[in-house]
Amino acid sequence: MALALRTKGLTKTYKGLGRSRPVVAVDHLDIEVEEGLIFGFLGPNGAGKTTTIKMLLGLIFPTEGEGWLLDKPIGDISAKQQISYLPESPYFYEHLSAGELLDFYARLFGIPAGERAKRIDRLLTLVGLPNDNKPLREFSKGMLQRAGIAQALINDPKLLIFDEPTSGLDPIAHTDIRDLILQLREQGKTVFLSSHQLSDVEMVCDRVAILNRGKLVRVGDVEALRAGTEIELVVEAPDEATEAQLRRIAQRVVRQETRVLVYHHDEAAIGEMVDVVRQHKVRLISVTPQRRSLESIFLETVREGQA
Amino acid sequence: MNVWTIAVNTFGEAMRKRALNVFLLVAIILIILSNAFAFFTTPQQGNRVELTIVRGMGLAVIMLSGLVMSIFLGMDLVPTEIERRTIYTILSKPVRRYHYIAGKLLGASLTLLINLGLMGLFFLAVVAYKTRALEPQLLVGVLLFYIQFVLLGSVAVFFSVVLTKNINVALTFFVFVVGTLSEYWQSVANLAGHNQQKIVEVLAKAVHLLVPNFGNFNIANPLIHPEALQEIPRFGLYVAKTVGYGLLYTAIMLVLACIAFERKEV
Repeated sequence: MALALRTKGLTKTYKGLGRSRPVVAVDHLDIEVEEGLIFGFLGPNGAGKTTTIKMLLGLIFPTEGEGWLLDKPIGDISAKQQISYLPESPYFYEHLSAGELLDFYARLFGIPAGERAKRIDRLLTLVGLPNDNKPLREFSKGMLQRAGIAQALINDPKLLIFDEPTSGLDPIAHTDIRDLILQLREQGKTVFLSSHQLSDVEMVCDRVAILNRGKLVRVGDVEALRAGTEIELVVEAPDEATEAQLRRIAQRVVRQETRVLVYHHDEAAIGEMVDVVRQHKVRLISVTPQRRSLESIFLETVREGQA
Repeated sequence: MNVWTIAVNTFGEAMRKRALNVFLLVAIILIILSNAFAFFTTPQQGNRVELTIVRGMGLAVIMLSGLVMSIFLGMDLVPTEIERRTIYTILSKPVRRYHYIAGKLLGASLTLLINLGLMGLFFLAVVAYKTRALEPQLLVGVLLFYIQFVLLGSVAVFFSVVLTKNINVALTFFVFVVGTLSEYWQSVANLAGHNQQKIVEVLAKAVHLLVPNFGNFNIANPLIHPEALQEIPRFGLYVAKTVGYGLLYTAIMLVLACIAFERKEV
């Protein structure tokens, strides 16, 4: 499958002030995003997400490494014709109305006048904004974010780069924008989504990369990451000898009133524990592979990096 | 096309700046009030002195307003867009960095044109009211001021790409003062050459040659005293040369600003 975005050894180092050491904001980042996917780009504050995005868009320049958007090197003007960007907390020219703002951006893409008017009407309807003369300075944060989404769609892009598109929004606007991102996938667009909203990422993303202290620490399909390998065994009221034997084999044991929940990543160990239960003629309630939340994967990955 | 789109947007935004609007209003009021100042002359001094006051004050107001406006516009164009992060959504679009800088400067030049143009028209009207005759050469004086301040604005835009706002204001003003005294630097160079002071001669010559000669654009004296206008031989040619000189220097400053901005991280 073709790649919409690719980086190879992408690095950004900021010189320290005076005698302080240089700061490596992004450290030899290698990522590949296939076309048509929603790719989550996660990381704690200061992980280097926005720095990466700014390098991809040619706003700042890599110290080392390379990057490609739609097979064109970063900064290539012809690639920019087919990409769009929604910055975190977008600021726009406050004297313009939403329609004028879209018209301004459409002109930068060289979209002809007739087509501009059609797209502006369609996009304002899509994001739920009126096409009136109200200047953006009178817009709420949610309305500004909607205007931001509309400007990101004005060129009918192949690749959309969204930096925290739902931060600070009310639940309705939040849900609307999440649904819109899902619609974009249905239209075959690629979305590179940097977000702290892990529940959103879990819901909409096909694949995620986790960045910590500038380094890529985990990447994979959301379903594969969440599936994990831990299996849960629930045993009803085991006697002391049985429980002791299970505890010796299990990686983790949780007691819930009369039940004992034992966990292990290894299927052979699970088989061994099932044998123990059968030998002691104790009631086995269930054997279930565990699905983990993206939040737990994220926290585990980041904490591993900090250890 | 992108240059014009950015220019129009810059113009629209600048024309809505309250500080600039207030400045324009005060300047126009002062130009109109120059008539009132003329009443302070004694009857013996006559109409000629009154006219000198009206012309002199009008031109001074236009020059000072243009100076403040050009520095204010030039220094603010790029840094404000970076601070407010509006630049992110521009440079992430298919916009070349030099188109962006050129568009910004063109937008500021349009803003100056409208502001100085309005002041010039009021000035012309006030003088016409006083003399009962139109003096179109006054507009030529305003045109030269305009070209001068477009050039100064381009200096401010260049500094805005490489320096902080405060240093920019100070340095642009310094360049204006040094450039206004261009003939003086030539005299210093000549004198130093005569006295065998090589370093002073080279430095003064460098300043005279490198810093735009803003003095060329100021023809206030012959405009205030129209009889002195004849002292400028081939007036039309002088104006054309000065306009060309200003535009050439503006183009050089624009190229330098574009080169500096090409590698600027935003």
